[in-house]
Amino acid sequence: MTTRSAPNSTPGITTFMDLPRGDLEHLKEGMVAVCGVSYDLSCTSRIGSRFGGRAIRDSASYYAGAFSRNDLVEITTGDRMSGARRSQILDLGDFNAYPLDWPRTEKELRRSMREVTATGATPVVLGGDHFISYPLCLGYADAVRERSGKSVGYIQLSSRLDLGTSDPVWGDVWRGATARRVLDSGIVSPRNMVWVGVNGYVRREEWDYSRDNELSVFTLADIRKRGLQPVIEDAMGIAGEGCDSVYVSIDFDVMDGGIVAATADPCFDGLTNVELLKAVDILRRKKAGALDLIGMNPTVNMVSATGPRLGAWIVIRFLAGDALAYP
Amino acid sequence: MPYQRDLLPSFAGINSFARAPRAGFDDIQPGTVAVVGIPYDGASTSRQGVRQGPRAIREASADFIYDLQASQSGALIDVITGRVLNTPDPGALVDLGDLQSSPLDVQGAMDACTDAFSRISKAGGFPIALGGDRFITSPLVGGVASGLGSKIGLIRISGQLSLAEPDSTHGPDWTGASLRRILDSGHVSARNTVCVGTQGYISYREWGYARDQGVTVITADALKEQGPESAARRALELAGDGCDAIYVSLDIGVVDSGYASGTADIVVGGVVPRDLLSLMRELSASSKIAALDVVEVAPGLDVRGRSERLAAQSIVELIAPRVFGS
Repeated sequence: MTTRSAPNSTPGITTFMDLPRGDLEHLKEGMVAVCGVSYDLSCTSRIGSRFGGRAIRDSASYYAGAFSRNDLVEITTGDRMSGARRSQILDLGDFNAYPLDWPRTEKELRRSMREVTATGATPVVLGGDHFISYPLCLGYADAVRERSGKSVGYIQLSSRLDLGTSDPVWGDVWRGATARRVLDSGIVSPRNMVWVGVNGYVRREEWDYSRDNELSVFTLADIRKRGLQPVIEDAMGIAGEGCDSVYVSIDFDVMDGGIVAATADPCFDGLTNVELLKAVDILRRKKAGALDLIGMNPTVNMVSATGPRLGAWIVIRFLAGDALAYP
Repeated sequence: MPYQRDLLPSFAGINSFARAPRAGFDDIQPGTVAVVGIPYDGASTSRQGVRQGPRAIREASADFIYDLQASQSGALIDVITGRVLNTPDPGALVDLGDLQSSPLDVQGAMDACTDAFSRISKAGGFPIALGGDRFITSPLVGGVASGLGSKIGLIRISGQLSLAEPDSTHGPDWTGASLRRILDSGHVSARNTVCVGTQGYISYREWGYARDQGVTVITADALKEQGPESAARRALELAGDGCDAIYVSLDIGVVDSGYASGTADIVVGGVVPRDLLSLMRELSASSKIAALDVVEVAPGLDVRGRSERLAAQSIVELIAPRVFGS
C-alpha cells in the first residue's frame, strides 16, 4: 500500500479539499457528501458553469495543505478551524447528467439527490447552472419526507426571482424558471420559499407574481436597510417554519459583479464576498439541510481565481464547526 | 415568401443595439432614437482597443433585450427602484450601423461624426453614438449644435477633463483635448458645461482653465457625497441654463476599474456602477436631453465582459422614458 505525505495542492485526482472519494455505501448520518453537477445547457447566456464544480474543487485543494499543517483562524470572526475530519466528508464525484436530454437529467438528479440524502448525510452540490436546483431540491424533499414525514423549505440567494414560466425560446427548461418549477411542483409550500438578494431588472410578470402570491422576497435594498443578519435570520425562520430543514441554493450572481464576475451575467450591484460568507455562517448555524452552489462560470473570469476560491470558502464556512472541527 | 423566424436566443442573430431594426438616415422621424457606431480610436493616446467598442456594446445589450422580448407581460421591472421598461413601439429605436471611420483619416472620421449627428438632430431624432475614443465627442457635439441651429449644454461624465492644449506628439485633435476643442468651437459655453466624475491627477493647466472659464466640475468624490440624484439635478440646471438641448457624454473610464477595466485609461477610486446608473436614470427624466455618446469602451481589456454591459445598461437607463415608456 502506498502512503502519501501531507496533501499537496497540485498532484493527484482533485477531490474537494483533497478529501477521500466515496460512494453512497460509505455515507452515514452526520456526514457530508460533496457532489458535482456538470450541466449548464439551461443557462440562457454565457455557458461555462459546467466547469464550476471542477474549478471549486481545484481551488479548495489549496486548503487541504493549509489545513493539514495548521489551524486556521478567521481573523475577523475569531473562528478557528482545524483539519477536516477526513472520515466525515466524502467527495462523491459528479452526478449523472445528459447534456442533450433534460428529462433524463432531471430524473437522474432527483434520484441521485434522494439517495444521497437518504443516507443521512448533508449534501453539498457544486453546479452547474441554476436550473439543476429544481430537481435537486425535489430529490432532497423526497428523502426528507420518506425519513421524517415532513416537508422542506427553500431559500435562494440570487439576483433574480427565477419565477419564469414558458419562455418563447427555452420553454420550461431554463435557469429563469427554477423557483417557479419548485413552486409548481407542490412539493415545497409557497409559505416556505424565500428569495434573498434580488436586485436589478426582472421580468415584470415574475415580480407581480411574487407580490400577488405574497411570496417572501428580500431585495438587496432590504439587506442594505435592515442589515444582512436580521434578513438572513428572518429568511431562515420563514423557510424553516414547520419544516424538517431548509434547502439552500446560492447563485453566484447574487454577488456584486465588481467583486466576482465569474458568472454568466455579472450584476452591477450585489453582496460583497464578506457578506456572502457571513450569510453562509448564519445559514449553517440555522441548520440548512442541503446546499448547492450554482452559476459559477470560471471560463468568463480567467484572469482571477476569485470565483472558484470564493466557492471553496462558501463550502468551508458551511462546514465549519461541524464536519470541519473547531479545535 | 420571407423566412419565418421566431424569437432567437440572446446569443443568436445579427447584432444591433437592443435588437433594434436597421434603418437609414432618411427613416428618422421626430422622436426616433437612432444609434450609430463609431469604431474610431485614432485619437487615443493610451491603451488601444476602443475600436471594438460599438460591436461589444451591441452584443452586451442582447441579454437584456431578450429578457424583455421573452417577457409575457412585455415589461421588465427594477425591483429596487421600481422603474419599468416596456416593449418599445416599432421604430422608436433604430440602429444605423457604423459610420465611416478609418483611424488613419482623422478629418474623414470627424466629418462623418458631425454629419451623422447633425442629420439625426435636424430630423428631430435623438442620436446615440457607440464609441470610439472620447475625441469623437467634439465633432458629435458640433453636429447636434448645427442640426438644432442653437447652442447646447453639455454634461460630460468622465474621469478626465480633456481640456488640454495641442499635444507635442498628437497635435490638436487628441483625446486629452476633446472638451477643449468643443469650448473652442463655441457650440457650448463653459457655463453650460458640467464635468461629472472627474478624479485623480489632472494637469494643473487644465484644472486652472476649467476654473477660469467657469466650467463646473463635480468630482467623483463630490458625486459620492452629494449622491447621484442631487448631482444630476445640479448638472441639468447648469447645463440647461439658457439652452433647450443638453448633450450627455459618458466615458466608461469614469467607472472604478475594479468594476470596469475595459477602457483605455484606468482609474482607481472612480464611480461605482450603482451610482452611474442612478445618475443616468435621473438625467433621463429631463426633456432637454437631446443626444448621447458612450465612449472609451475597450472590450478586449475586460475579459469578464462587464464594461460593455455597463455601457449598454447606461444607455438603456438614459433612453428609458423615450424608448421603453418608463
